[in-house]
Amino acid sequence: MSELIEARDLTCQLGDQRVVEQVSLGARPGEVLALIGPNGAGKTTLLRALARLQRPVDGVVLLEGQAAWQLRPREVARRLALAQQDSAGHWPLTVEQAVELGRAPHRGWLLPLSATDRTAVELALRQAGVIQLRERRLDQLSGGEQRRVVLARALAQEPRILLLDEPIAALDLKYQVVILELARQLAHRDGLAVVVTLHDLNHAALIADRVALLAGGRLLAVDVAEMVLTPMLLQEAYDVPIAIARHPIHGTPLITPLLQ
Amino acid sequence: MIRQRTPLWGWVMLLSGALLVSLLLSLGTGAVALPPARVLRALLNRADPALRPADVAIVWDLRLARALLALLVGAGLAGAGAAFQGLFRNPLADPFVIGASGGASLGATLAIVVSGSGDGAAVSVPLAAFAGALLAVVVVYLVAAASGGDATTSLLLAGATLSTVLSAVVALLMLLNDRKLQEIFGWLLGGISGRSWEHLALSGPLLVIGLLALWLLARPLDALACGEEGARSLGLPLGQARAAIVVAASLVTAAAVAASGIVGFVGLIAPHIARSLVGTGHARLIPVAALSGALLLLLADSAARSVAAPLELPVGIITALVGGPCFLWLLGRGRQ
Repeated sequence: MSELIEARDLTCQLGDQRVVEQVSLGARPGEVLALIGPNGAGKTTLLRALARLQRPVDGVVLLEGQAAWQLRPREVARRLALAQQDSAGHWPLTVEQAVELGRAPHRGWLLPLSATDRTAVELALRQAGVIQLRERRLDQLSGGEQRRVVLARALAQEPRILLLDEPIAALDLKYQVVILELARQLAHRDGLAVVVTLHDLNHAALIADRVALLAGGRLLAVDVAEMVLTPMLLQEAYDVPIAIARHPIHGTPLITPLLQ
Repeated sequence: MIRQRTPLWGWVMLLSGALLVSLLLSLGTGAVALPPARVLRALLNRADPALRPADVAIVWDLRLARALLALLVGAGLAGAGAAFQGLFRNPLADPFVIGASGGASLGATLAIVVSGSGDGAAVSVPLAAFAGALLAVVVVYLVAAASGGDATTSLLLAGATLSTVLSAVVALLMLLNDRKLQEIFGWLLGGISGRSWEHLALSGPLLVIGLLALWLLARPLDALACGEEGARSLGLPLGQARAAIVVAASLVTAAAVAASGIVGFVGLIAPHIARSLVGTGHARLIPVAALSGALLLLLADSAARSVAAPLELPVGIITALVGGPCFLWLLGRGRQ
């Protein structure tokens, strides 16, 4: 199957610091690709580059075979949505107003929303579990609720490619499960390519079809979880001894850092 | 959906009603007091035989243009203020934040200094103020664009700097032309006294068109309220959106200062009042801010005419003296 989104030899700088170096990877329709790696590995920058928000100094990003930087921002936003870590903003909109913005790539910036747009907004509010919060202002929500609103906005874009930056970092257990399952369902049932950065390696092991391990801006490995989540590779990336067992229920790798 | 739209229309109706009543009262206020009923009849039918011709003339020739101008200028300043606060994500932004007031002051001052006494000044001063305001904004915009980096911060910094420079030039011109000091000072304080249909014809269309344009830009403003990165990820062409907002808000501001000089405060507080009524979404915020601004300036202008009658106070003094404490009170109450 061909890749919906692909990075080829991607190199990105922040200031004069190289934070992503010569990274090549891609995500296919119907798969969850997890990006893992220690702090400063370049996960978020890679995600921003994939979303056409960070211009690479070298290499290309291809969206369905087309160079992302030769597409207009709106065309990119119709195919690809990025749910970032913080985007509450200064002036607090209501939840519904914020999610409605996700329709802008389809509806344009000037016209009122259509019935189709309304349906998409309703669905997104429901999927992200924020429908009961729709009238609330963003600044009156908890951190976890805000994250779900950001996800809802990305869903309202009806993208074929969904990029999630630490989507469950501030969530309670219930919503960790809800959002992880939603990510998997969007890929497996609806055929989206889902690229997600995750801090917790066990979450990655549970939901990812493939895992990409980054360290120091370089891609150490990208493959199915069992091949990437190995003591050797993880110790190289994280610089702590790591033991790996089998998950008693799911059979996936269960990662435990060892105290020295 | 209905639940959500009710407060908007409720506030729009309420503010429009208050505006209409204030308009009738304002048209009756002045050296010759007219009861609202007679004002209404004069408005509806200029040839009403029950009215004295003098009353009709007072309403139509002396007061109506001025009241409409106050209303439109107030609406324009409030709309532009809401747009700039949204664009800069800064509650302190007002219509003059990127140099329009400095440019208008210099333009008007030059026109007053150069002109003889009286004759052409009625039109040349507004035109010079209008041109000055736009020129200053263009300079600020070009400097910010050339600076690279964070364009929004650059705009604010360039605006503040140019305003300071231009005020210094105005101060210098005032010192050098002390015979015209009073005239210049009066203009700088802002006022709508003596404005006629001529001024309304100059500024009115631009104010209305600019406000409609700002309303149309509500969704980009909403996106910017979520931060520039978020707006970009939704596919908003940031440079174009910023330019469109700056152009529309600056045209409105320039048309407003051309009509009334530098009326402070309305453009700062009306958006905050509107936000406390209908929230941040700009599709609701801009019309409600415009109505609030219109009401504020109309009331301030009526007060300016009647508080110390027959002396007329500059309306800018009223907006600051009354609006300031009211705003502080609102601010204190909101934080509790």
